[in-house]
This record gives sequence, C-alpha cells and structure tokens, in this order.
Amino acid sequence: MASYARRQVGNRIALGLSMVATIVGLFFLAAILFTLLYKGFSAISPRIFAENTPPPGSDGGLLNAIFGSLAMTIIAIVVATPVGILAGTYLVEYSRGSRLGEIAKFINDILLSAPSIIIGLFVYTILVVPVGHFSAWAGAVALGLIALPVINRTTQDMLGLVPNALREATAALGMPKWKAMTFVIYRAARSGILTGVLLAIARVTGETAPLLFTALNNQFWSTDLGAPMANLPVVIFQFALSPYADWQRLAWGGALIITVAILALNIVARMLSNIGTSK
Amino acid sequence: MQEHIVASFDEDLNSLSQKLAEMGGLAEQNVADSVAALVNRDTEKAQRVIASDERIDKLQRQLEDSAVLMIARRQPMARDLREIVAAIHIATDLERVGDLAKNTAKRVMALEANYGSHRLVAGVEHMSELCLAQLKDVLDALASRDLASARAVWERDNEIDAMYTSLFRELLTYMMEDPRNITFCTHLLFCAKNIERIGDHATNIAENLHYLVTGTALTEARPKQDATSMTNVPYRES
Amino acid sequence: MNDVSVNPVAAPAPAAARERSKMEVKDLRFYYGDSLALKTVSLKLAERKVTAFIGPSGCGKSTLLRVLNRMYDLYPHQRAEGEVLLDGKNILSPAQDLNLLRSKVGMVFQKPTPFPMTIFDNIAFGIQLFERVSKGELSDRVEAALTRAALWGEVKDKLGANGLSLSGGQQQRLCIARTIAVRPEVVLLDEPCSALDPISTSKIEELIDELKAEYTIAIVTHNMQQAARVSDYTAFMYLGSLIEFDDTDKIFTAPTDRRTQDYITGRFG
Repeated sequence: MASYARRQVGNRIALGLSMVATIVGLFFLAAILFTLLYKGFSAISPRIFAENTPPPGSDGGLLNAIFGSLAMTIIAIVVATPVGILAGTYLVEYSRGSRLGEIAKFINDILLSAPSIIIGLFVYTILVVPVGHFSAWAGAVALGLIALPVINRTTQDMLGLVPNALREATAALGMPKWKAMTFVIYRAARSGILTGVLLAIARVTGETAPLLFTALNNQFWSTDLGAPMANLPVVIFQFALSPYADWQRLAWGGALIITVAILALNIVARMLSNIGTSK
Repeated sequence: MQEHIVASFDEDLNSLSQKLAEMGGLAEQNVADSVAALVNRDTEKAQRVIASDERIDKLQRQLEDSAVLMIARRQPMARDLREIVAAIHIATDLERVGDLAKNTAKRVMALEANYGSHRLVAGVEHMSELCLAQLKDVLDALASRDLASARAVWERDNEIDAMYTSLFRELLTYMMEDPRNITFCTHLLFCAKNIERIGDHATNIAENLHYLVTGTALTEARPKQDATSMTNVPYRES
Repeated sequence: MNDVSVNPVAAPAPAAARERSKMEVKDLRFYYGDSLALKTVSLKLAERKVTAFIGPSGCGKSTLLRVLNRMYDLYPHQRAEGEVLLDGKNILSPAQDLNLLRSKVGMVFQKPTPFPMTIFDNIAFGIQLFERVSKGELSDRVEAALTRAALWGEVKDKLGANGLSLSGGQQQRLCIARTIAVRPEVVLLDEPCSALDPISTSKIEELIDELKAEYTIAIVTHNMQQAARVSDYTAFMYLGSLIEFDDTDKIFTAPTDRRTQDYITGRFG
C-alpha cells in the first residue's frame, strides 16, 4: 500500500509540473496576443485598408502592402501548388523505393527546413542581380520556393495515409492508374492536401527575410510586378524600427492583420480536416 | 496421433472412449452371466444381469449427450467427426447387446419350473461361447483401432449364423420328440435368437470401426449363413 | 494404429478434373524478391464452382489468389513463373492486357474498400470504365448489381450517400456489388468476412451460394467451417506447396494427407 501512495504522490507531482509548463507556455502566447491586440487595435480602421503607406509624420494605411502581400502570395501558391502536388504524387505513387525517389524526398525535406533567408539570397542571385532591380516576380518566386516543399511533403503524407487496399481495389477493377489517381486516390486525400496548401499559405504569409532580398518595398501604390512592391512583413520591419509613432502604430496594425489572417487560415484548415475525418 | 492444440478436446474424446469401454465391459459381462444363469438355472445371477442393464442404458444416454455437445461446441472435422459419430452408433449397438442379455436373463426367471435337460441347453451354450469371443475381439479391436481384427470379426459372423441355423433345427426336433420340451425349447429358441443378434451387433461395431478408421463403409456383401427364415423341419409321425 | 493418411503427394482431384475448368494453374512458382513463396503449384478452378484455399498463416494461399488477377504486378520485386490459363490463354504472358484481365477476374479484399464517392457512383464508375452506357441503363445496372449483392433494399433510398457511411458488412457487400457490376467471369475473394460480424458473414456466405450459379469463385479463408460450408472444392496449402486438393466433402470428412487432417482438426503445432 505504501508504494501505491508513493506512486499517487509521484503522479500528482508530474501532473502539477505539466500544468505549470502549460500555463507558462500559454502565458507567453497570451501575452503576445494581448500585446498585439492592445497595440494594434488602435491602428485598425477603414483607413488602414484604404490608404497607402504614408511618409513619416503623416497618417495613412497599409493598402499597397496588403495588396503586395496578397499578389505575391497568390502567384506563389498558384505556381507552387500544382508542382508540389504532382511532385508529391510522383514520389508516393510512381517511384516506390527507387533511388531517385528517395533522394528527391530527402532533398525536399532539407528544403522544407532551410532558412528562408537562404532561399531569398538564391532568388536574389538569379532574379534580381541579372535584372538589375528588385521585383515582385522575384518575391513571388521566393515565396513559391518556400511553399513548394511544404505542399510536396503534405501531399506525400496525405497520400501515404490512403490505405493500400484502396489502390489495390482500383487495380482489381481494371482501372487505369491515372483514373484511379484522379477519381479515387485524390478524393480520398483531398481534405488533407487542401489543408497542406492552406498551411503553406499561412507559412508564407509571415516570411520576411526572402522578401527583403527580392521584392524589397515600395512606398507607393504599384501594380507593376516587374518593380519592387510593398508587402506587409517588410513594411512592419521598416516601420517598427523607425522612431515615428505613426509608423510604429501602423506596424502593429500590420502585425495584427497578419496574425488574424494566419488564424483564419488555420481555422479553415482545421475545419476542412474535421470534415474529412467525420465521414 | 498428434494432440489437439486445445487440450480439452482430447479430454472430451478420451472420455467418449472410456464410456464405450465401460459399456463394452458391462455388456460382455452381462452376456456371459445371462447364459451362465440359463445353463445353471441361477435366478440370482439373472436378477443381477437385469439390474445391471440400467447402468448400460444410462451410459448410452450420457455418451449421446456428450457427443451432441461436442458437435455443437467443437465443429469437429474429418477423423474427430467420424470418431464421434461412430461412438454414437457403437453405443447404440452396445445398449442393444445389453438389452438382449437382459431378455435372456428374464427368460431364466420365467423358466423357474420348466427346465429341461442339460442336453437341450448345450447348443445355446456353445453358440454363446463363440459369440462372446466375437464380442471380446471386436471390443479389443475398438480399443486399439485395429482394422484387421475388426475385419476378422466381421467375416466370422457367418459361423454364428450357421450355428444358429443348425440349432434352430435341433430345437424343433426336440420339440417334436417330446411335447413336454416345448416351453423350454421355445424360450431357448428366443435365447438363441438373442445370441445371434448379439453377434450381428458385434459385426455392426466392426463396420463402424472400419468407417472410423478409413472414412469409407464396409460395403461388400457380408457372407451370411442364417438360413432359419427358410428352414423347415417336416413333422414325422414316430 | 492403422491410419490411412500417408500420401505425401497431392494428385489432382478426380472430381474437379471431370468439371470444365475455367482457370488452370500450371507449375506456378512465385518469388518475393529472391525468396520462393509458391513451390510449383498446379490446380484447376472448376467453372461455376467455389474453390476454397485453406492453410496456416504464410502458406501462400493469398499469394496464389493474387496471381490469378496478376495483382502482384503492382509491386516491383514480385514475380511469377509458370502458366496460369484463363479459358486456355496464359495470363502470365507479358502481352496480357492487365486491365482487361482484371475486368474478367474481379477481386474483393479483406478490408472493405468503398471508393470515396456516393453509393451510386461506386458502382457506376466501374461500369463506365469499360462500357458506354446510357443514363437509364446505368441506373438499371447499378440496381441489378446492388440487388445481386443483397444490398438494394438497404440503400435504395440513399444512393447519394457516401459509400463510407455504410456499416462494415454493408461496405463489403458494396464492394462485392461493385465487382460483379462489371460482369466478370471469375470472382476472387480474399478473406472477405474476416473483418465482419457473424450476421454479415452469413449474408455474404448466402451471397456466394447464389453467385456461384453465374461466376467461378475462388475464396481464401482461414475459417475452416466457412470453407466447408461454402465451397465445392478445397485446396490445402502448407509452406508454399499444394498438399491436397479434393472435393470439400471428402477433405473435411476423410482427408488423404495427414497434414491436412492435422490442420483441419486443430492439431497443427
């Protein structure tokens, strides 16, 4: 009986320690969110969505930055998604066990965790230096290169979750492989792959370093993709470090906008995966 | 043979064999005792035979119940299935053997006042010796699953039949010789018939044993020499 | 103890040889990489009869079944040598059109695998793979397949529901309906009832009984009582070899080989 009592005490201690750890973690999270809300909320107004970034000392908004981020993210995702999904499909469905496949998977995993500044530097070297100036294209390419391994990996994982028996069932019916992929396998992995794309978007939304090397920033409204374009992360970087109160306020506002966007994307991703599993 | 993975299955099958062995022993004993009682006019022995038949009946019911339970529980296949089915059939045969011995014993009771000379019983006694040998042999063959012995028993049954036919004529002759023999000889006829039937049951057991071991029936025509149904002894005025 | 069970070599069952054979396996050897899994197996599948493959784990019964529709082709390190004839033509030849083969030889797996589509589409999709069918005829074919699989009554009001919303037993019957909707000639069943409850199992056994009037059926099962109930011929396999192949009735009442007897009476150890 003594050992049982001792074990109970040990159990309670361990539970207590884990609760403390959770509270500590949550505390910091809450502190960040609270600070964001507190400092950023005052900056949120219809103007922030209507006006461009102002020179120091005057009022303005973040319209060009929001547009820039949206544009580059959309281009990046539109390019990276099909490439990533198809590459992931090839690695799972068609190259089983082959040397090339294993090497490709390995390289993808490295790219997945590569520091984004290196990606930025790479795109700088091939797309900025030869051209002579920064551009939104370069920014989109950099973001795309960051999103690609994420989508590739998620696709691999989700396709891997599809039971092999389902593939055999399609083969047993005499179904050609491409039809099996399109109508059965993809449908089975659909919500998972979509979740992967959303998470890639969320990841890419907050990347700053690559954009510093590629799209840089633009004080004014611009839709010219061949020229530097404003974007939220770089604007926040610039404004937050500045001594101007207006700019700092706008920076917090921008940070809040990014946070809310990522939150929304994660919620949608979670809802999608729930629909998938509740079938 | 290798044992079952589930040991209780082997135990169940063994208990079936044991019951059969017990029934066989009792049946053998009762047959021997009933004839001895007949020859020696021993009514006490006859009583014991009648009482002991109850145990044989009880064993048969128990065996059948176990067998049915085993079929329900174990879904036996192949040899196991044949063992159980054969056990049921053999138990029925042994129970009938017991009943036939009891019938003979009852006649001993009935014959209290009407015994004839020993000369008349000799034939029955002789026949019963052969029959007991058959019974013993087939029960031994059953215990050791010996096909060759079983077949020998199966073929030897025609000797008992031949004996029965000649005994039939003999008893008819005795009855015609002296009407005072009629009661005694009539009972003796029935006893002889009982013994002949016991021999047939021994043959059945041999056939069931053959099915148990090989999975096929002994389908050849068994040599039969029981011609009593066609026997006629004409009456001669003496 | 006299026991008639010493014949180590399996002879082809005389009864099966009398029937017309739909598929014939001749000297089949099967390799997983370098390891030999099936050691020169030969047998015949009688037309419109049910043949069961039984044996302990790892004996090769599923491997043998999967050769019959060349399912092993999906995997690079598996290969088969020898001949497998379907109506006299060797399906192991490299010139064999695999999709065509599999439209004639269907397979149902251990785990029910409905496609992530509606119940109607599950069936319709397979039909439309091989035939151009009008909408009306498609509906009829779907209904016929579901009726044949004893599922129509339970799903006729929810054909638009997702196939995955059905119970396990229903899903398996859906897979069977899907397989027979394309009008195969042979149906292979790989432990179709292992994942199901007893009532669903009985329904599927009843289904097999009805289906054998039209299709040649081969079933792998580790449930011997099921093999005894459902099949006309049984093949007992052990360690990659065919030990005994005969009428089901004979195998389960008086098998010739001691190993068969030991396996079916639960004496294997």
